[in-house]
Amino acid sequence: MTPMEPRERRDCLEIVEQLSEYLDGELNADARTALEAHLRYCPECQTFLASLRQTMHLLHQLGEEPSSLPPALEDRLLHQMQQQLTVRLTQQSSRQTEADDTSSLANDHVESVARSTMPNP
Amino acid sequence: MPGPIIDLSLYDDEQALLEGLRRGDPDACTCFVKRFAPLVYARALRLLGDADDAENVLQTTFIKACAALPEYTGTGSLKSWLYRIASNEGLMLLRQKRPQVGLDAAGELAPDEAELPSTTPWPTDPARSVIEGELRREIARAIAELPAGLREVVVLRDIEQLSTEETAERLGISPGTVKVRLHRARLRLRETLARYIASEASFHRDDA
Repeated sequence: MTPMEPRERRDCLEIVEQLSEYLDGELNADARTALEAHLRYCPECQTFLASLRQTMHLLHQLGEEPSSLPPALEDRLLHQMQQQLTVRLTQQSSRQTEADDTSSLANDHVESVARSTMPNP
Repeated sequence: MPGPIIDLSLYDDEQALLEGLRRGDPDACTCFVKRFAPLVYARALRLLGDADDAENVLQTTFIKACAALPEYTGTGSLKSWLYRIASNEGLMLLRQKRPQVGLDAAGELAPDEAELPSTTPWPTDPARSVIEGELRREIARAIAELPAGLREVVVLRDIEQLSTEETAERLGISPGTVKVRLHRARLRLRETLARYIASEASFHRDDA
């Protein structure tokens, strides 16, 4: 490949700076047109664009890959979660009992108020 | 603790899984962990670049999720709900650990890029070999080695595939800063991968 003129080199630096936005479709229309015009005559920038696109593709794939958990970590987490669920259930059932007690106390109170305010026969 | 062998397809349906968890069924809990914990752990590991930190985030995520189950309304998938809790926890941890230097000025994170990065064509199509463990480890290592300010942006944008605006909102930085940091991060990862692929190619050439 022939060495580039300084002017072209500066163009390439500017182009490289815009490539992410270009690949993300976030470049405005004028900048996109200028960038594509540069790409048509610059094989180096074409190659660079392709490798940046491949990098992004690999990153996307990394997010979608099946992954596994170290077995010891899974055991610890399971143990912790089971404890957590047990605690939550115990709290729920004690809240329920409290609620039952409160409502039965309230009923008792209503009944006693009713009795006390009732005229004696 | 349930035995190790349970039918994981028992709770394939998310609604059934949620009901099982709310009832406190240990099998539902096991299914919940086995199905989602590897995904959450992998994301946390990418974001934090450290196994101990990732384990902390994993545990906090599941504890918080478990505590919030009664209020969880089920809009969106369980997976994205867990991812959201995990990335919030992870970002909080990154903030605590980060040295107190201002990273918001995009320029501070700009590497020495007066030189045009190398444009040697990649001799192989790396996408084809993505399932190869070696390359996967190489990318994971390269992400882990990025400065936290670049890593959190590239993880949210390119791995979690959030939009520029969502990423900016989650990180509390401007969309412009997201774009600058994302580009810096991609350039660094590209360079690392290019070096790795070139060395692999020369190794195979020598081998032949």
